Amino acid sequence: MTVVFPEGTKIQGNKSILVLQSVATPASVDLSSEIGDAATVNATFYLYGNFSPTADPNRGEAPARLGDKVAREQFGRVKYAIGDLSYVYDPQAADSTTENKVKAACPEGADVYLLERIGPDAETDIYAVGQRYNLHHVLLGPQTKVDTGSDEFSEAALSQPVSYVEPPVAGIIVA
Amino acid sequence: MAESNPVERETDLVLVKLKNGTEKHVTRALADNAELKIIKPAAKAAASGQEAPK
Repeated sequence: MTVVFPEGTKIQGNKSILVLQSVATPASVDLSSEIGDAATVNATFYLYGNFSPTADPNRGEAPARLGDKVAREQFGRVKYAIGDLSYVYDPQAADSTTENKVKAACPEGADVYLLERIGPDAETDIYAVGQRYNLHHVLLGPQTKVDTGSDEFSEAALSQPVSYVEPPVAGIIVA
Repeated sequence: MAESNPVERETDLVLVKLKNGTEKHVTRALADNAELKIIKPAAKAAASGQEAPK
């Protein structure tokens, strides 16, 4: 067997998130009409922290049989979750300003599609046909005014819980 | 005293048609930003506890 040392993909600066208002078919996002919609907002440089969806399957044991010598573990329901979104806003500006673009795109009660791209440079690489994306269809909770911290570098932020409307779709190749 | 964290509730939603043909309620600010054609103006919601229209 050949020993290989696969190259890792750097994450820093190479993860970006778009907020899409609508996706007709989650398994195939359209570059021009959906990613390219005027209402789509690139939230990459608004979001604080990381964007780390989780899948937590319930684990349980099958009923023990008379002759069992070992427990037979099984998976049950899977809970998909994403940590609260935390993003930049301007408390003194209208929602139509650049600083409040994500705030305006993510009202409480709406459902949006978070399109996640990992690998290409978040700042300089444009979204293109053939790239792979992960799609998260989520319902948005209330926007709560918070601080990013308590030190001299903290900023005013909005924190917003999200919950999955449907399981995430990974590895979409955009047409 | 505990610090309060006021909750921001968006109330001014308008119905727009997106590029992929879907009609959706979005905030007026987003519609203005994106210069979307408004099909139906201002649906007030959330302030009264009513869920925002989808």
